[in-house]
Amino acid sequence: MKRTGFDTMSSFAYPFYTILHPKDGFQEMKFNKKDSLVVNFVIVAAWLFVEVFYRVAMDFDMNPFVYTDVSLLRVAVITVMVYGMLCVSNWCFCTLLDGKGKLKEIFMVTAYALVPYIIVRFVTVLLSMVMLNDEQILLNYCVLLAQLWGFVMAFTGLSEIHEYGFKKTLLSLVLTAIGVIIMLFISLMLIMLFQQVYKFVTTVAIELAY
Amino acid sequence: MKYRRWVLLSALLYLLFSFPSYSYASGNSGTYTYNVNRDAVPSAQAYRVSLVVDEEIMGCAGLSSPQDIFVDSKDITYILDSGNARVVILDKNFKCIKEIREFSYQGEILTLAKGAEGIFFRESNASLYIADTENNRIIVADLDGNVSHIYEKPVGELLDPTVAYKPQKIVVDNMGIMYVTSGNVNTGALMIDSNNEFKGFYGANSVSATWEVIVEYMWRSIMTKEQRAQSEYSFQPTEFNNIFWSEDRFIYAVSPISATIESPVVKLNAVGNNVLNETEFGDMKSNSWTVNSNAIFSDITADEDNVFTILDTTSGKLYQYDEECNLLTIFGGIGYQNGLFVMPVSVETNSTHDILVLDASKNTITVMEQTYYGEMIRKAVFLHNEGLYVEAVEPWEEVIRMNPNYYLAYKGMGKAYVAFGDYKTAMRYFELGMDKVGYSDAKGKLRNEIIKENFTLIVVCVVGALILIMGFDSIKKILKKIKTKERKSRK
Repeated sequence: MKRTGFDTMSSFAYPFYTILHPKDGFQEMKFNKKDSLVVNFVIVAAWLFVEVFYRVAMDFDMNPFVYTDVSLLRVAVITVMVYGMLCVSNWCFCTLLDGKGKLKEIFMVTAYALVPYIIVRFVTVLLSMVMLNDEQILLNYCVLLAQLWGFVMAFTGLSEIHEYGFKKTLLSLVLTAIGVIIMLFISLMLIMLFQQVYKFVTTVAIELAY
Repeated sequence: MKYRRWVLLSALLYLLFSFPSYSYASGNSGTYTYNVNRDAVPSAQAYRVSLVVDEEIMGCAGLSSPQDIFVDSKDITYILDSGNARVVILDKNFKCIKEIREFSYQGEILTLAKGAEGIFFRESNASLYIADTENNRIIVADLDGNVSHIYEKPVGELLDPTVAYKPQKIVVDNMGIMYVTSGNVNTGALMIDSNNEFKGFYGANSVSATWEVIVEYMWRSIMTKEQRAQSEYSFQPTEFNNIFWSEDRFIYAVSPISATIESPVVKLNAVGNNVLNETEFGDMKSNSWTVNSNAIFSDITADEDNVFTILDTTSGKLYQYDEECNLLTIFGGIGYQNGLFVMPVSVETNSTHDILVLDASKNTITVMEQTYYGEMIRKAVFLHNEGLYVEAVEPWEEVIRMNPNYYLAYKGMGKAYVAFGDYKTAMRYFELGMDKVGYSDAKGKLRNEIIKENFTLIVVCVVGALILIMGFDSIKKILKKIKTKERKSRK
């Protein structure tokens, strides 16, 4: 393995190295502690920013959203919350399946896997200013490729940090997805329950007041 | 004091988060249109009541559940006053010229049965065609009541002799062929020539292959013969409610909205094919508060600009479209005020684009004249459809001034600015009009223009960038060489 340059590399340049060399990058991250929560936070924040940027600044003829109707809260839910859920769910299942990865490492891997999507999405929004509706398919393919590459990165990274083989990584990913669904279901139940409790309390309060 | 602050805060929150409700759409009166997102948005009034024609104005006995009116090119109005079994003819100013109660046919006196449903006046031979529904016949008479023909049920191989003949609405084309809708015939209008010979069916509604139709078809395919004979096929095309003969030799027809037919409003050419664009006629379905699935389109009328108006009897509303099926305006409603209707049955336009609505319950004709806004919208749409985008700018600007919710106006302005060559303004208007295709088009033109103007600059930039990159590479190589030399020398 090439070792030159890793020690001098700044932790912000590191994700970019990992995009091109996922296996080396994630190994280095695990064994030489090239992980920094600041970088993690910056990447997730960048994702949130890019998603909002995409909704607001994508040129009118390619924008699938109505930009007067963009809610920061909604975007945050589908980015940050889903990100957190995925990581926690993966951590839950992988500790059961003898995974060696720590929660922090899972957070890092997921964040790094987002980087290609973030970059490509940002560039497509900029390109939408000069490209036409008919040429949009090109941009869509770029985004799709970035997403696929992100998936490959996540797959490699998770198998590295948990020290899993191919099959076990696949299994863990399927379980992760199921975990997220269970989490969503339970949170929905909780929300509904709290709504009912709230309704009950307010009804009682109104009855008492009048 | 603390308590009051909370009340104020909650009121503020309520104001912030309550949804704006469009009472224009759900209420009876008030004009509205739909925007691109299928929301009902308020609009300026395109029509206002100018006259309500009743007994007093006509100057003769009042109407009693009239069923049909017809307006000819000289603005003479023919009313089929079914409850009184007579025909009333009004002049331009809606004064009664003539009442026809009795018809003479070869020395005999004929009268209409109560409940006759259709009337048509053919100007080339100055004769009235009346569908005398309850007597199962069509009467052709001149304006003095002298009957020239009586058409009973025609004979034809395709015509089921067991089905009763109930002629309801009638139009006659230039060749003298009658197009008759009959109550229980769902295979289109009956084409009957002047010798009472049946020529065929015209423009039947086709059943579209929706999910329910396919399922029923599958069920029927596994039934036994006895079962099949017992169960009626439930997805039959609906019959025409009304037909209208337009100046440009097309026939408009309306049918009740149902899941099985392709379009409740059709404009049929000579061979009976629909030439209208596919649109959702009537109220848009996505808005839960204006769902009007029980709409019964009972009449249609068109003028020389191919602007057509359809009448929904259940909601009392009139929907006006241009020839491209762009919604121009919606007005009317159920109620007793002037401008609202209780049971509107028939609608006609005259030469000054007034809309005449016959109400079978109020026994009046409501004459609605175009407002300035309506005039502008019609003028603009007409010029727009003709491709005269630049000429349409002025009326479109007026329309926007009076009704900023009318998205078609922004589209029209966008097209005009493309014609001017001002692509940036065009893009702004297309964005307001939510026209993505137009926007992209203007953007492409703007892009071409910029590239053309700055071609040399772009080429210079690209070449410069290439040289820089290559130069950068070679500089790197040189630096590397120096470094390795240094290392070697150190060793």
